[in-house]
Amino acid sequence: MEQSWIIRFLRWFCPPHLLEEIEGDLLQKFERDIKLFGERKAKRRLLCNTLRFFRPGILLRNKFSIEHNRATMYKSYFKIMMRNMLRQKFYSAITMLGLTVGITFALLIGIFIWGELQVNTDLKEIDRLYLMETNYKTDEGNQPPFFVPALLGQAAIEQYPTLFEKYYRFRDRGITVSKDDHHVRLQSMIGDSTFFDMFGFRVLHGDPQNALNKPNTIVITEKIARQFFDRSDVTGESLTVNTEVNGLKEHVITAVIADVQEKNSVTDFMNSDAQVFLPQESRVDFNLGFQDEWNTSIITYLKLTEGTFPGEAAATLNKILQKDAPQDISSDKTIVLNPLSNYYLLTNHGAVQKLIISLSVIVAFILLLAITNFVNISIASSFSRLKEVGVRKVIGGVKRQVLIQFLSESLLLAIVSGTLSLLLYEILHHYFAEVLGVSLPSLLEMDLLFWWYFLMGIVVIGLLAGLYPSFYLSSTGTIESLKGKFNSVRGTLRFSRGLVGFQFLVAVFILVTSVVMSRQISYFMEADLGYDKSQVLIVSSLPRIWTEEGMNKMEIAKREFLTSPRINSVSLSWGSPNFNFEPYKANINHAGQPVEKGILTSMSSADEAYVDVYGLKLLDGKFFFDEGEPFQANRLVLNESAQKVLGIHVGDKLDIQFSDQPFTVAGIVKDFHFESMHEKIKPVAFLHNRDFQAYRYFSFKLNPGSLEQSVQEVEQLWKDIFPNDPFVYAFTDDRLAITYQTELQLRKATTVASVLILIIVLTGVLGLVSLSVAKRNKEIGIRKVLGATVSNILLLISREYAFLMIIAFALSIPVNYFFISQWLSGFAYHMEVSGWMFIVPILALFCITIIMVCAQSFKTAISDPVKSLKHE
Amino acid sequence: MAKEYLGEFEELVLTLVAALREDAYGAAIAEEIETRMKREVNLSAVHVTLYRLEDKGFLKSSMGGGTNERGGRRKRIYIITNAGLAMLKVMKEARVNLWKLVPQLKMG
Repeated sequence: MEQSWIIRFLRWFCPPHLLEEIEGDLLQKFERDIKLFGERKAKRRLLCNTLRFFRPGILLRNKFSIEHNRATMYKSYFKIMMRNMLRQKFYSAITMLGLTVGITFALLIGIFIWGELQVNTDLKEIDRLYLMETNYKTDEGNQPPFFVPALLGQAAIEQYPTLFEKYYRFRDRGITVSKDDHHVRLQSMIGDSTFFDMFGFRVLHGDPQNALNKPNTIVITEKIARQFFDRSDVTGESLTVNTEVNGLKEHVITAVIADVQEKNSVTDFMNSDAQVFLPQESRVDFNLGFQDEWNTSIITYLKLTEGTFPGEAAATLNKILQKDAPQDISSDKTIVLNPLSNYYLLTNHGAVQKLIISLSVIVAFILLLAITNFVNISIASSFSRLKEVGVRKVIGGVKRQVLIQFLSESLLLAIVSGTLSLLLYEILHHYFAEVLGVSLPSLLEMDLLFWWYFLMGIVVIGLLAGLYPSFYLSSTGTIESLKGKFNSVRGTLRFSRGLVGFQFLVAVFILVTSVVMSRQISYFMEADLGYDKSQVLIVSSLPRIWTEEGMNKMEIAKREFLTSPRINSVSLSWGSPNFNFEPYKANINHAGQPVEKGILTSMSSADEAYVDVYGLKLLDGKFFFDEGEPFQANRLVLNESAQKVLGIHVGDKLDIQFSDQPFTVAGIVKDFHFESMHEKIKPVAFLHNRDFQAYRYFSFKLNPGSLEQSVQEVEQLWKDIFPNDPFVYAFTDDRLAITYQTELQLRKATTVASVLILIIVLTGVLGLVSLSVAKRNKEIGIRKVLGATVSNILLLISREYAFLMIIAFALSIPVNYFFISQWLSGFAYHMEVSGWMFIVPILALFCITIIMVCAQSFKTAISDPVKSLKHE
Repeated sequence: MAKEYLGEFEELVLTLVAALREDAYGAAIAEEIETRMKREVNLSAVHVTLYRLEDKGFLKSSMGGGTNERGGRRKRIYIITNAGLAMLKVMKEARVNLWKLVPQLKMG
């Protein structure tokens, strides 16, 4: 008790004449609390109660012995500081610039990270929400992990109501919603009526209890309501939905919800940005199977009851699965529960989390460099302050006062830089948001907690920057300081050199890393993907009529498109490389052999024109059949990987899981990257749309010429052919950029960071050189008198930096090599690290630094030695 | 009432000092408020109020004798001064006078 830090804290701030009774009262209360609430709570209360004494009513009762001249003292500190800063404008500018640049960058990145951490926090009782995922016992499953058997959630609630409170299941579909002539392509969620209650989405109009439990009803967001009706109160109105099975259907709007947080893991699941919501009854309209069958796949969110341990819940789910589900569904999978609270950060192999960590490290480095600059320049320029310290000490200032003086100076500087950074942030955030492709809010939208962090950050920066210089200045002996000379210069010199070396080390690390990242990203943006991604336009908003009749209709549409001279070829397919390529995976094997023993293959669908549109290389056979030939059923095309593993040839027959007819291999295409380069190319099989009975995209290969005009032309044709469907398109290049979004963001951030780091480090070195030249003015004079040439002197000064850089580079190369190899190993396809990626940045940095050092010291080197020597 | 004025909490503390007599010190007053008034108070508020009342001259204080309780720390015992008593009376009368102006409703 006696040694408790909180009591020591009390002793520190409490006026001595009140201390004893306050301490006594606190202890008495503590003993009473122990009896009433137990020891742990009592301790917490003691902490609280003691902290509450830290208030003006108590603090001001301290008898300040030097109270009245404190204010004048601070005023004098401030005045001296301003004079010093004005006298040394150059150095002040350098330190301020470094700090401001550093803090601004930290703000930009910090607020971005803050935003990423806020994702999903708007969902109601998020800590009890979980997403069910399937772990396949074999390496890979037939479907993405987020699909689970549809009946599982329902069974869990019915059988274990003490563990599970609610569930919400959905499937997403891109649908065309229209009102009169206004057609919009929207992402929809077709799911349970628990939608509102489960996530706490705010209902603006309508009754959430009955909004999603009747057929042909629809719930929309406020944004969509305004888009169609120019107002939000639109319950009872109706919208036309273009369904896949039953054509155009009127849907009554039963509720309007407030717009949802832009990023979240429910309506924005897998970046789908759903804006309209349909009841489970709509599943039949979209061929989605029934929600109360085990073999229907669905995405399921679960809400656990309070206090339920997720491990126990997951175990229970697996128990239900094994007990109730048919053998063929339960045998190959286990169910896991992913907390929704960190789902966004950890999904997609933790891409967002990795980005956040990398960015934080970069910010930390930049701030450290800015602080290092500050420390270095403060130390180097401190000889001008030494006399002042001496005088203060002679007059009666004690060490602590000097310490406080210099600490408050650096604190004040940090605060000024912080304020400048806030201004800069407000000016820059739009630009920066655009570059990074993210949204950065204005500072006015930030909440209180952020400001606390910001303030704390500034104080920490100020203290870190001021700590060493202040200790160093305040602990110099009085006589020594009055003389204006340091006796023990060696220690600080070593420290200061160490800091410069550290700066070079970090600078080269970031530079090399940035070069490598940049090269790697260009590598896969420019690499031969195995398909031709230029001039391909993908339109995703075609009506999905997945019947024979629909297929015929699309065939006619294709012919009409081909009449345009700007269109080279058109293909109807399920997906495009890097853009929803495959709907599912299935095992395939030689006909007659057990399918389970075959290889897991990505199944996709296309037509015979696909090979032309995407410029795939046909190794053998045909892509189904030649264009213009009549359709031949049950053919398939394999990629090289699949062909090699199966050892199959054109004309052989294959069995496919989930299909009762054998397929004939019509052709083999060369491997192409249909996923990101993080992944190895896997086996692929194309079925023809007509066999597959589904399609989603039109891909247009455009003839060379103005892209803009071509797009306009396609759009015009589109409106003629599909008057009831909007025209939503994308280019394959852009889709590819989305695949590598985090990498592209990281590249941009590291590029900006490298530039900033160069600025900070180079200005820092500039300041140091000019200070050291000023200090060695006399030495240089003597050397010149004794016959040194200008180049001798330049060599003398730059030698020190060259030496530091060589050590720093030697240290950084192995660490850096290790780091980038690690990073690159995250890609299944990556470039080789070559020497020039190290040599070029290092040489560049070396040369720039040496040139700068020489330029800065040149003036002194050519100056007349008489001038520098005649002083004193 | 021109010169000095007591806040509600100040009045409460002052009254309790008068009521507790020899046993009026910070922790005891806080406990008393908690048990009698069923109201959460924090210790520092009581202390600050006591000091302020002492500054205003309504209270006097002296350190009590040492005991083995509370880690051997002594208590500061407060006594109400005549000025304090007068103040309480003035406040009470003022309140009674005001209360008389309220039309008396029969409760219940």
